[in-house]
Amino acid sequence: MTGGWEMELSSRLDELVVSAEESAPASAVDAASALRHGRRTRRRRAVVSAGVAAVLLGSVALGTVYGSGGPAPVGPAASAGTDRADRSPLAMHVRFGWLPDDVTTVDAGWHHELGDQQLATAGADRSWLLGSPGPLPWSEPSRPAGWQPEEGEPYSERTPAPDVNGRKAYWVSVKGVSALELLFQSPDGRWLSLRGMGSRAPEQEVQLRIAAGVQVGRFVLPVPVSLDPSTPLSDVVSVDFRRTVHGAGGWQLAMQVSVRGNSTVTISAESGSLPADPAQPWRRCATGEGMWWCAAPFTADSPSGQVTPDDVKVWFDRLVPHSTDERTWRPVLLP
Amino acid sequence: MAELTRDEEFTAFVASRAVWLRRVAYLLCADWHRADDLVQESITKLYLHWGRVSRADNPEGYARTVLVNVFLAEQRTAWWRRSRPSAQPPEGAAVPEADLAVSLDLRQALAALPPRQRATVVLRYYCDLTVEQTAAALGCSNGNVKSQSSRALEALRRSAALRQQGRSAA
Repeated sequence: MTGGWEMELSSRLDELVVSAEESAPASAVDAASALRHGRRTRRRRAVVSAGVAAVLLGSVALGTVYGSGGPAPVGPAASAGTDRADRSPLAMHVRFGWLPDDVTTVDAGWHHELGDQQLATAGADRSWLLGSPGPLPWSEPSRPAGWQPEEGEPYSERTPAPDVNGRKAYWVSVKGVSALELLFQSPDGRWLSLRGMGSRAPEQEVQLRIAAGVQVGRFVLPVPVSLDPSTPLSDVVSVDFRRTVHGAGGWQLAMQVSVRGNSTVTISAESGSLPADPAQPWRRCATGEGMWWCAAPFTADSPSGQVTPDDVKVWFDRLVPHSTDERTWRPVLLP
Repeated sequence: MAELTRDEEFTAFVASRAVWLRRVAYLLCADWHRADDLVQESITKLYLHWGRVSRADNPEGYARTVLVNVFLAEQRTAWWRRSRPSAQPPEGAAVPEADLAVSLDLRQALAALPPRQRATVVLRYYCDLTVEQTAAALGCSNGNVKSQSSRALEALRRSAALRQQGRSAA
């Protein structure tokens, strides 16, 4: 293979596209359709197959400020095992300890079907998702004798990993997909999952070190905006909270709550100033104490007939803002 | 508010990159309708991950990676498509004969490559990615990219040479 041939190929590929485009049908790519499908998917099921929970797809979640490099708590934990704590969806059963220095945000989320998960996001498109595993790959899928994957064909594979804190661990990888899951046992014997994701190959040593620092327990996270204590826990669909890891300490909070079991109101809160948003006439918002909070129909630009302005008002009135001072924060939703 | 801002960002991103994504998709699948489907599925996935995508250093690269993975995933599930030649000459406007011959040659040779080799060629020689960047997008090793590239280039060059011989003989 000569460099000249490679250059010629690049040039020919350009020509091919230009030539073919002259007779191409009009593009059927539709961003609005993607939005609609995406919203429906986010509403109905909370995860993508690679294992990212929708509680984190919602983009706003609960996390913590980590010190540089060292183990750090997710946040002040309320006393465990109390009635109040039991009513808080954001009672994490695990939390990150050590994380790489380039991690910028940590999300913690809870979904009524999926439980709690946490996501650490670093620069250069790297992230790690921590939570309980799906069905454990104790056995390989049934395959005929002599089975070999076709060249380039993805297939899952489980291989032993180095022990994590002296306990068994496994790598689960899908060939052709740049995500690598580490299954490891916690001190109480439960299995945990740490999934490394990103567009580049996961670094196993980093993933093992993160796993070794994971703390297990019950960590109830306080947040800057709560809900009225009369709110039934069963009305809460998901809660997401994100905090920056280093520096200014910004945060975002999002909740989805059920309206009559078939519609959703989204509650958002964030530090800083409320951005202008004239396109959401149904939204109700307030500002103060260096933050803002809003309630709106889930489908922001086209309220469904099942969510009325009264529904939005009911949920907005249930919001109890505290302040940006963490000492005033309360366990999410149901103080 | 956050919801709408995200949607606006997403819509603007799609508007500015859809043509490019469609071209990449076309090179992968050699069919504009399938290319549209691939891009549509890819941008839907992008929307689901938009919070992360929009914060990525290289959203275009993220989109490209999603597109390639959607294409490869389709190859896995729609296995029957692999057994059929996918490159039919497009209908529509006339193209100069010489250009058409070159384009069809390359398109057919490209379509004859195994999907992963085709993706490697498109990423390396259309998207101008390095070996390392291609490996990251495909989730494989640098060595794998090199071997796939080598095989693909050899096949394409052989195909081009054969066709050239055929024309000369005629």
